[in-house]
Amino acid sequence: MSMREHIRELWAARELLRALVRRDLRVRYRGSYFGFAISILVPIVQVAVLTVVFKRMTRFSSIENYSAHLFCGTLPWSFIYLTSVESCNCILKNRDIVKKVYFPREVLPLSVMLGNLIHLGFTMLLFLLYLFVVVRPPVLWTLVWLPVIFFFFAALALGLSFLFSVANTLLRDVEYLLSFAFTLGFFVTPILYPAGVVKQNLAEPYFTIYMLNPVAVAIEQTRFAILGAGDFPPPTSAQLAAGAATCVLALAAGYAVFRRLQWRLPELV
Amino acid sequence: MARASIPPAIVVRDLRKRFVVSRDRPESLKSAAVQLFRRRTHHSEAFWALDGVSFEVERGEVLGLIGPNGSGKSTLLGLLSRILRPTGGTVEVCGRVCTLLELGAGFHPELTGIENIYLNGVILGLSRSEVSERIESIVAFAELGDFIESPVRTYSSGMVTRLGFAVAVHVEPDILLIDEVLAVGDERFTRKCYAKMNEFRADPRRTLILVSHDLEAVGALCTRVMWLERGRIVELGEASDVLEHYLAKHGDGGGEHQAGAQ
Repeated sequence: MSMREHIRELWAARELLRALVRRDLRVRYRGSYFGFAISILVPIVQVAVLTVVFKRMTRFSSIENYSAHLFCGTLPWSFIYLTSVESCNCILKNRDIVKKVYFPREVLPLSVMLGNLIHLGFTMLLFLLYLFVVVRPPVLWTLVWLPVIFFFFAALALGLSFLFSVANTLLRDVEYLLSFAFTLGFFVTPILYPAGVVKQNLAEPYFTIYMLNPVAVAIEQTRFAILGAGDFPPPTSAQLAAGAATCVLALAAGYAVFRRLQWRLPELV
Repeated sequence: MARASIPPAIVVRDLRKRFVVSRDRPESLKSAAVQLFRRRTHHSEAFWALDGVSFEVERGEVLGLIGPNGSGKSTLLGLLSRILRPTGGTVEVCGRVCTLLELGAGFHPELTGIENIYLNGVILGLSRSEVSERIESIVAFAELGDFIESPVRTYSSGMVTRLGFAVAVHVEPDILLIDEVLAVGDERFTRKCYAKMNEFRADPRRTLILVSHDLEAVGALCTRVMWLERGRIVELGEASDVLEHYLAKHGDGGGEHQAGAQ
């Protein structure tokens, strides 16, 4: 099938995509009676606990508005984490229809990413609303960066989603390794602390390597966009360019793997 | 347009499908890592699930597929619905294909009957607005009463079955593929399903392909029958002839083909 035909087919599957995203969000927000409240409370409780622990016990207490710094880190992190983990089982979970109905398989990882992106947008909006109504820091023009950051971030998430959806169908323990990798990643990504602290304590070229992590760049740039430069400089243009390029590359690589293996999926589930 | 110029619904030419069963394909990262350090041994076997099958199906035809287990019936359906990619040969299908799902497949237990109708309808290839046009008729066919607003996890298996069939028969595809899912529900509902199938059959634009071990049902519904064995066509022709020859070889009723019904 030519690429053009395939794109037309994907376009034709948009209703299916919408139905799957709707299903996932419905189930997430309604799963239990308090499904909606819980999905909002989880990030808040997470930040509350982290604030208490780290602000009281470490020298990050000097950072102004530490909770807001945390939200800028935990919300994007949760997005990339949940997308990756949920992608692992998106083919297996839908094995009944994968085995029996033809549709462009891309729809499954795509729906996982989109569902989580909508959730990210929603929690981000609540966070910004709270920030600018209650805390009232100055509103910055740099906020226009947010859609750009999330665009590249979504590309990265989609690439991972493509990759992990087929990888875990092929090798069923990928998801366990992934949880472990994300647990480590949480600490080597500037979530609890700003990257500026790392820069002060890490010699070159290690800091350059540290900032090759596209998630680190995205989080730092999110902080800069919402809260301004503060005590530490925002990511440099080189870091931003490298981060964006990594995201696009991840999408291309993930999709290439997915297209190569997708025909084997009905036999494997 | 003259009838002669209408292209067939399905044209299959020398269709072949090979499956490779690899007994030591690593199924986890762990075993993949272990295998890296082992001497490679190849324990894969290939077999031809379909080996050179050619046929045409005209529009409006009802074709039955029979054959013992492992003869390639389900593989053929998989290839017709494009789930599987042929190893060789070609499949040309003209029109919208819909596979009747194993009942309840694609339903989400937490969603209500109505929500699942939309979900399943779209999975089977309808647009949302097409589901909306049919929703009343689907709800009426399923006969679930007030349960239609309750989550599907509260349904009995009979109710799930009715809902699944109700959606499937309302998709109205050009080509409907049915893989052994008819023997479900109570007698009244089964009759209703057959009535709906007859309606479908009476429409000269619609084509039906039915895989079944229930030879009586095949005889009653199909105009032509294809007898498959080990990936090859043994006989393709008038339903009564093929069934007679098939029964002569495989005995009638209680043989292996009955016991193994999926």
